[in-house]
Amino acid sequence: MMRCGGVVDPGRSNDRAMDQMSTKSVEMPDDAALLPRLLAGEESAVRVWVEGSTPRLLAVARRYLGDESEACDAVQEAFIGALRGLRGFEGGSRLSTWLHRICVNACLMRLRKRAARGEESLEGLLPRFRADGHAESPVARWRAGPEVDDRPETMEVVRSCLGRLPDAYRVVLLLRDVEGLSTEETATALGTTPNAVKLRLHRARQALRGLLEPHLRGSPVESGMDGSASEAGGTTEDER
Amino acid sequence: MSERAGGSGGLGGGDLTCREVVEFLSEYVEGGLGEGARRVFDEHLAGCPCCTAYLESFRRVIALGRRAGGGEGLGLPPAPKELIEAIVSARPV
Repeated sequence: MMRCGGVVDPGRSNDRAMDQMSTKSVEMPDDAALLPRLLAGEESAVRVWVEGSTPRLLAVARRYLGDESEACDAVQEAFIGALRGLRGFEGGSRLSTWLHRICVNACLMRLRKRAARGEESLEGLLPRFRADGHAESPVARWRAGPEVDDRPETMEVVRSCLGRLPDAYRVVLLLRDVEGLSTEETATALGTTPNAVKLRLHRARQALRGLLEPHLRGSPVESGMDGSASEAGGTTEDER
Repeated sequence: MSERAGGSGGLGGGDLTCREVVEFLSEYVEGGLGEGARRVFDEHLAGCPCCTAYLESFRRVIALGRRAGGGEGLGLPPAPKELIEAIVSARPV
């Protein structure tokens, strides 16, 4: 069962996830201009900040939570928390990155509540091996890379497949591969062990591969995998 | 753990099965394997087109997940007006 015992450090200066966002719906003043106005409690500044940041934060919250209503609530919580904590903003990262982290933390808190309701199984999404040691499904080379991967429809398919991963796996993949947190940082944020993070990340990637396979597979490889017989997924979290 | 010629637990003790390759692929692509284990891994990959194909697709999955999860190519429609108003009106004073 996933437990989200900690938080992502909002001051951590990793702007990669923010940089990948494609558009801004509202032009915002830079931090140096905006921050003093926010600190002064200027309503027009708060409005500009909220209007400029919310579309992007909402997209982030949707990816973590997969539920529109919960995503809206998480974004609202993030802003309220950020506005309350604005005096503690130390400028070690951009204001947008700091707010992004607070929003991710709001999402993690909500996922923790969900985890108490039970964790979904990933088993059906992992590679499976037959009793004779071969993969149950033939391995195929995927269709050629950049020209397929760069299509907007491919990105949409990947986003949809990410959304189909169970929470406990999707969140690890987002924290590690998208936010760029280390294994240890992710473990702290989720209140689990580094080994559990490693295993969940690996399984999340395997499952994502399995979900993408029907969309991206090309010609089959001639000989089958020679892996030994096993149930799907192999090693359990307890075994590692 | 599946049987493997000459192996006695852990990677690097002998030939690998495809299942073991799949099992440790994240550690391989992240450079988390020791030199000996990596060499055994590479030897297996050199003679196994299936695992090579799986590895290639696995690397793409990581890259695609990173790009899509980061919002690449995602249009950002304006946020619902009610949400904006709710946040602005709820701001601490």
